Amino acid sequence: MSIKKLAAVLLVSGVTCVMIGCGGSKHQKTACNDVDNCTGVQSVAAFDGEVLSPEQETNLVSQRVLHFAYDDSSLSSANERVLTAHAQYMLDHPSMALTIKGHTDERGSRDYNVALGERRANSVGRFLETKGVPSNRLTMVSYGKEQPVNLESNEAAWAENRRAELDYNE
Amino acid sequence: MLYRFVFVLMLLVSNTLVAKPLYIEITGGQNIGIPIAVVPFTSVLASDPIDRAVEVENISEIIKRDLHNSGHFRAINVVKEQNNPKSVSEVNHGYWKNYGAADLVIGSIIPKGNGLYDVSFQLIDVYNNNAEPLLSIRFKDKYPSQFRALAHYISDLIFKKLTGVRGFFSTRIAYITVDRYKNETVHTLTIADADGFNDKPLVAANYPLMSPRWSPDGKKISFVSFKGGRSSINLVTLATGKIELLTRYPGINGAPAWSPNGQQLAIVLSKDGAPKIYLFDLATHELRKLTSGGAIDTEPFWHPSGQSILFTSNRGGKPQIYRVVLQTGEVQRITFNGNYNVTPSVTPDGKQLIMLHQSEKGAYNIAVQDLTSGRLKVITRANLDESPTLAPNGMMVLYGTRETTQNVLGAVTLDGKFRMRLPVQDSNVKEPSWSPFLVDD
Repeated sequence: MSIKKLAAVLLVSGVTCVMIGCGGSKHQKTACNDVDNCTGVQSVAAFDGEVLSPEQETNLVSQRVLHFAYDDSSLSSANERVLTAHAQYMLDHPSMALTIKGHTDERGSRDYNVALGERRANSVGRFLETKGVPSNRLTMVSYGKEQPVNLESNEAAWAENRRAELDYNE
Repeated sequence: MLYRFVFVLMLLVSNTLVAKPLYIEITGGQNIGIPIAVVPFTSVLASDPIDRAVEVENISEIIKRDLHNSGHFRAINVVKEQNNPKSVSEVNHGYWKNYGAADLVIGSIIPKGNGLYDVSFQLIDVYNNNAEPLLSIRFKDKYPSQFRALAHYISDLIFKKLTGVRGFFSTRIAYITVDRYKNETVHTLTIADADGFNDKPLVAANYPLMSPRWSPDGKKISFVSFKGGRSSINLVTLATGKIELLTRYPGINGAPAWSPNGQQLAIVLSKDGAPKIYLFDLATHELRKLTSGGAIDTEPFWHPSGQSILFTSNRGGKPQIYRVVLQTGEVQRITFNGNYNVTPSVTPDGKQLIMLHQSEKGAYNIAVQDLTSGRLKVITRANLDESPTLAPNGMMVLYGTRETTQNVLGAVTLDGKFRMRLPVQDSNVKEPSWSPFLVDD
């Protein structure tokens, strides 16, 4: 059972099958404790999904930085893949909270960049919410262009600085 | 666990932090201002031990630099010589006319004992042989520590006399410096004289500080802090260094702008969704939401009339400048040239809009739009200019710019004809804010 499928199930079934009801290790998702509430699992098996090995999933969760196109806060499919793994990680670790930091490149107004950075953080946060992560465990903050990781002034540096960072805390 | 400690490094008013003075360097344009000769002030201090301090605070040199760097005067070099005029009666008008000066400043510094001095100066119209000096003023009982401020004050008087407009030489600026060390980055809210001297760190932190803005009385500065990994709007009192937290809502707390009467701030909050403009009452801390909708609204600037607020919004797709009338809530678009017009401010006479504008070539520059004709003029030339702030007399813009690897401050006259750079030796300097007038006219 892929985590993407499970998340889809949670969504489709109105999140009746929350993690408390679906105990167990994250790689044995089909072992739902409450079978009645998990009936949707079979019915959505037809959804396209990716079967991730535990190693793959760990690799994806270790990716804590997502990059964005210029003047854009939409998530690439690669970003969505990483975030889907993070969503599962959050669901598996209910005590974990996540801070999502939005950043921009150095061009233009500082305060307008704060607003653009927030759009990036929010687009990550909203994606995680659609995967079932409760909003009260997510904090979005935008630093605009105030915290560049690459101090150079060129396209490559700008691409590196347009990012969202995921910071776990308990 | 990935728990991250965020702590206040230093929050203090102190001279113990290492201050790095700004040095003005003229970078371009032509100075077509009034030619003025400032004769080195005479002093009879040769044997006086205080003489050294006097040399450091060379009054006539400061006046000369002030006037020249305003872009409205062209300071003519005058060498210190025995036969320089020491009084009005010694001035040879023909000589100074040939020298190229339209106006002449002479002055003296006379010791009074107990470390006190009388400083006097005369402003003379070179083209009027028989008239009284335009200005002749004596300042009694001054300490050398007051000489620098006094020199700026004299510059203000001369500027006003010859242009009819108040000078900004006794004002101050605030800005943020960023120093990156191996293990941390220190952000410092600093204030300095308008010429970059006397810089004093006010707030230092290992998290970003943003958006410093002087209160209209010049006694406080509002700013944004990211203490604790969240943004908040704060107020620091210059005299005490006391910091007061104003707002710390979820999401953006940003871009505070003072109302002309100093009673309210226009701020940006995103607590209910997209970033919107709110009015924040400083006495009651009450909020009033001023704009609505799903677009980004930010960078409020209070129109000098106090009746409306200009702001940046992408409600039309691309960021442009809009105005909201406070009484009616009516919103009107102000900028139409190009796809990126942000960071509005308006000259004190309400006639010109200063903004950050992206040109067709893609460069981000400071531009001025005449609010009557709608005509736009780009006044800076680098690729990454930002954060324009107007001198209180509306005649010069200070702004942040990027120079190879460093963020520095630039200054430019409103007509774009005279540009300067104010680099700091090592630090990155950004987000300047020009103070209001601080000394009585």
